[in-house]
Amino acid sequence: MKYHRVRVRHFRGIAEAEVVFPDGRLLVIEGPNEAGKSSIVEAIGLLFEFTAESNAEEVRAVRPEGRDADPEVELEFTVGGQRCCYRKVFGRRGATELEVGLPGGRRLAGREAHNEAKRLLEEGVDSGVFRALRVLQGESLAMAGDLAASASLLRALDGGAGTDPAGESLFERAQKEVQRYYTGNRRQETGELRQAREAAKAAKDDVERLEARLRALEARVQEVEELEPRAAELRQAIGELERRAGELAGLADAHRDAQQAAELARTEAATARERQERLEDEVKRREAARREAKRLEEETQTARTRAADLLESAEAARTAFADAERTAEAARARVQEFEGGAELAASDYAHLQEELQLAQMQDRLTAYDDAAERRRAAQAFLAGCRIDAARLNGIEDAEAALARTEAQLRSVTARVEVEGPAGATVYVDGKPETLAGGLLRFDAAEELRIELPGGFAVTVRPSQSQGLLERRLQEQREQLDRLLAEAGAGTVEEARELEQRRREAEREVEDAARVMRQALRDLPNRADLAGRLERTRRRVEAYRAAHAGRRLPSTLEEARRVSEAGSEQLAAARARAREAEQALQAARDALGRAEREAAAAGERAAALERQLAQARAALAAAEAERPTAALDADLAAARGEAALAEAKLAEAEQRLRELAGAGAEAAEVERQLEAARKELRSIEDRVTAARGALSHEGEGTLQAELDAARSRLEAAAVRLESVERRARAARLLADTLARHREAARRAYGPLLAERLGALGRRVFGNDFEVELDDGLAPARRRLGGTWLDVRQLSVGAREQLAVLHRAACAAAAGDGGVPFFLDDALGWSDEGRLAEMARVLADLARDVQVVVLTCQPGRFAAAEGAAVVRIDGGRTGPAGGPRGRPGQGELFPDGA
Amino acid sequence: MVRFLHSSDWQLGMTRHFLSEEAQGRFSDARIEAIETLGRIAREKDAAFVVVAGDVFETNLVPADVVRRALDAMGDAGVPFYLLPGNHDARSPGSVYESERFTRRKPRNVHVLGPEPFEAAPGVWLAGVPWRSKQAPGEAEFFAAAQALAGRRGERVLAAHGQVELAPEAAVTLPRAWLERAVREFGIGYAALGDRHSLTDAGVDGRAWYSGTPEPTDYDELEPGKALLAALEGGRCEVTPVPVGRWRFIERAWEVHDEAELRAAAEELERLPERRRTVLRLRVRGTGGPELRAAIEAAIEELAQSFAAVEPWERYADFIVRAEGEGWEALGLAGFSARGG
Repeated sequence: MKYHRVRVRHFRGIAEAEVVFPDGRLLVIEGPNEAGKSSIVEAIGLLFEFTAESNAEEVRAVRPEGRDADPEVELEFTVGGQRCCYRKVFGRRGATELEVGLPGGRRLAGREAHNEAKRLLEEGVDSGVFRALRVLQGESLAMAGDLAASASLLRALDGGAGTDPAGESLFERAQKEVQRYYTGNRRQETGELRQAREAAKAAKDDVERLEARLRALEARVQEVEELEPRAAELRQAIGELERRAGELAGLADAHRDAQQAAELARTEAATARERQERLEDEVKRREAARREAKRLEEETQTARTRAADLLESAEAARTAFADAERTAEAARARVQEFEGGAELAASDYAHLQEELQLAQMQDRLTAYDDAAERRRAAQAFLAGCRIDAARLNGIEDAEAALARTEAQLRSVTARVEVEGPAGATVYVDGKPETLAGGLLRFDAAEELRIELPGGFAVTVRPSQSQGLLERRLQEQREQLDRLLAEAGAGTVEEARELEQRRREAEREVEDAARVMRQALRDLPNRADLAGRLERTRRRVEAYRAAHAGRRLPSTLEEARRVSEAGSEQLAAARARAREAEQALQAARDALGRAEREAAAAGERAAALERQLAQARAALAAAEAERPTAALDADLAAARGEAALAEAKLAEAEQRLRELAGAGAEAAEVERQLEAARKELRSIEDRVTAARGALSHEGEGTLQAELDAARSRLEAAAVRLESVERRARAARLLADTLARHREAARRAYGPLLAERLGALGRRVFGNDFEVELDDGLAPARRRLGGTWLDVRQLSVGAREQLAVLHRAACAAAAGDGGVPFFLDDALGWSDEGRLAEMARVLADLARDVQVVVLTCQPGRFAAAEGAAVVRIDGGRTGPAGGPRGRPGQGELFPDGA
Repeated sequence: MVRFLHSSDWQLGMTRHFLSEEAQGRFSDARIEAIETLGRIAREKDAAFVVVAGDVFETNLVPADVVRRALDAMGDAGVPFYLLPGNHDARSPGSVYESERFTRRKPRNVHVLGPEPFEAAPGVWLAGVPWRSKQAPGEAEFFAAAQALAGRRGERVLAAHGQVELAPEAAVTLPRAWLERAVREFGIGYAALGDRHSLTDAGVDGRAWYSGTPEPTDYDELEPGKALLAALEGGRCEVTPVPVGRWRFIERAWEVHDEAELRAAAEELERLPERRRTVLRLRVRGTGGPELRAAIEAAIEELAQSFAAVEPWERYADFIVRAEGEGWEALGLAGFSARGG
């Protein structure tokens, strides 16, 4: 691709400017910053990238400040061998014009023109490369993007590697073909292939669904086929069972008759048996009556004999009774006899006892009277006695107090001891005292005067307390005397004696009372005792008077002996009398019993005689009604009849048993028949249902549907296979081409490296070498025998390498390369390198269009043969200088 | 003397999925037309009746319209038709012969064969051994029919369906010994057999024959498209094949290495008669450039318009496309793609 001329109007700060690109020469555009150099590059970009009507930010940004004018760009260029003129006026009334095949080529306008320009560009250089190779300000350090992705570059590289553009085109076509069948990552089927597969799947599903219905139908067929033989079997079985049931029906009638006959026989036999039993009973009853009469006869006889015997026994009892009566009478008389003696002895004994009691009572009365006298004397003493225990205590207390006071008084008395020569005499209160043993000792209770030989005298005077004690002693003595007087005693000793006597008198009183109570015993008082004594005395005297004529026992003991002997005799007599009475009673009882028994025996004999008479009468009556002989004959006849009836019954039952088997079989046959009919009905129902289903489907469209589905499946399978084949082929082709292309790239990677190396050696020196990465961008550089990663290079070296890389790529890109702008680049390069870079670019410009924009005039002076255009804010004209041919480019900034 | 037509394996309602819808329609029509042809031949040859030895219908679920057309064709033919249920149309539950679509439309001259003999023509008794399920009729059923026929005086014709010991790969369902015994012991004058689609002598003194299908159904059938005209007289039996069908199933293997060979092969096929009733299975062998392959495809496409159907045979994968020759230049290959693998 080559640019020939660009013209811009109303573009940012530029009112109108035109640059003519020299053919085969480097173009250097010089001018200060903001002079509009970059706008030229930007204008070319907008021209291809945006429509004239675009409202994009990028487009709006280039509208001139403060003027109502639409930016306009016109570019003349050659691409794909065709010279074109492309013009756009950006704005709401935007205009697009394209003339292809100058001179006098096709003219296009509007959207058509835009699209055609785009197509031409893409076919010629591809926008990727186009954009990638345009170097704008501030980006000069970047390597040229991922150039490996650029189709144009690769195509160019392919060319360099001995390939040609048509190969790439085939590769693209192959890729596109693959994409018709597979998604981007080739994992999923898509488009036609997917449709074909889905159609095949749908058809298969249909066929399977219909075949399932068909199989269900076949299962029905099989069901019927399996059921029908069973149905036939059942029908046959039912036929046979019905026939057998018919046969058994006759037997059933016979069975019924036999049942009736048996029933009749059973009734007859029962009747005969009953009659026979009745007669047998009667015979038995008659026999029993006869036996009863006989028994009664015998019993009557026995009873009579017994009655006679008992009468005899009664007579004997009567005699025994009389004897017993006599014996009893004698015993009673003897008792009376002894009873008189015993009474007298007893009264004598009592009398003697009373006499004894009389003496005792006399003694008791005497004792009583003695005690009463003693009590009277003691009581008289006590009445005159004034002492008692309390008074005695008071007297003894007073006596003790007196003694204590006397002792106290004694203790305050001075103890006087006079020592001197033995036998010496002293005078106490004038009274001489001899000192026996050389010592005189005495107590001095009162003041006294001791005169000692030699004219000495000692006066001993008691202290004051002595006087007090003496007074208390006096009072206490008086108190004691008063108490003694009250007690009627002269001295304390007498008081004690009196008290002793008082206590003895009290005891005398008590003792006398006790003796009196003993004398009285159970009697309340002496009068009663005296009374009783008197009455006893009178009785004793009376008894003596009454029995004065006879001798009374002399002692109580004698009386007691006499009395006891009498009592014993009487008791013996009484015992004998009691025995006699008992014997008499026994005899009486025996007599009564014998008489009753005799009477009872008589009655029983009479009763038996009556029963006998009745039995005989009844027997005679029965015999008169039916004589025994007739009865026996009847019984024999009844027995015969019963036996006959039993035989008939047995026969009937035998017949019944014989027929019972047939009845059971008939019931079994009926049951089997019922079961078979039921099963047959069930089978017939199922067969009917299955046949119904079969008939329904047969009349339906299943087969037609299945045929259609199978046809669809066949067609879909064929189609799928065809598409699959194509898809596989496409993939194989694409994969193969891709593999080959990769191989080719591996081959021309070094080629690009070599080109870059050749350019580099001119700038950096002869031992320059470079290695590219997978994206064909420089990765390492060798210089001076050292390999360095490009990131390790200095900014200037990196920039130079980037520019050279772009240059190599641009040269390699198809269609004569891509126009290649350097905007204020190589700012980091030193003079020498810059000059060398300029020379390299000038050489490169012979094959590829190279445009350098710089704000420093003369920077690229080393570029031989370069055309130089200068912008300096005023009218811009061709740069002077020996290198450039003037007039190659013109720029008319705003206001020119 | 009595003459009758023996046919079998009509398999009405058969679908050939490789046929286009239109071709399938004609294929189906042809099979109905075969019935008409049989009727016409019967009338022309003075045949007393037509016996069809099984597989009259493709399936017991054959659609009503097919049944209707078949019955119409038989009814119109005017000669009695005796139909034997075969394995495809067994007299099983759901049998087409018991279906309403058959019984309601059955003309009076159409009969379904069973073991009970029909007097198909004066002095000619005809009985069949029908299939009653997926299981072939057993010996007892076979001889029940034979015995029933033996009880009739006159010529005896027995229709049966199954495989005699002929093809080693096919399971025998109709042992030849049965047929021999039927002929020998039960006086069967002719056994009309069905199941093989190829016209075949079953090898029982010339008295047991497969008529084959009246219209071909597949490539591997020998002498299909015929019926047998049988003549019985005084213990003698004569059979004459008569053509009925018009469709053909043919296979071709092309050996093609250049355009000229292709042209010759295609022309050979284009000269074939009745191409629209011919199903062609084609196998292509050879080598050549891509242009030859394209030409082959174009030729096949053209044939497909002419024939009832053209089926690729083993996907004609035997044609090897060579990476040499002029054709490649025409593809415009260049660069690395032109350098080949």
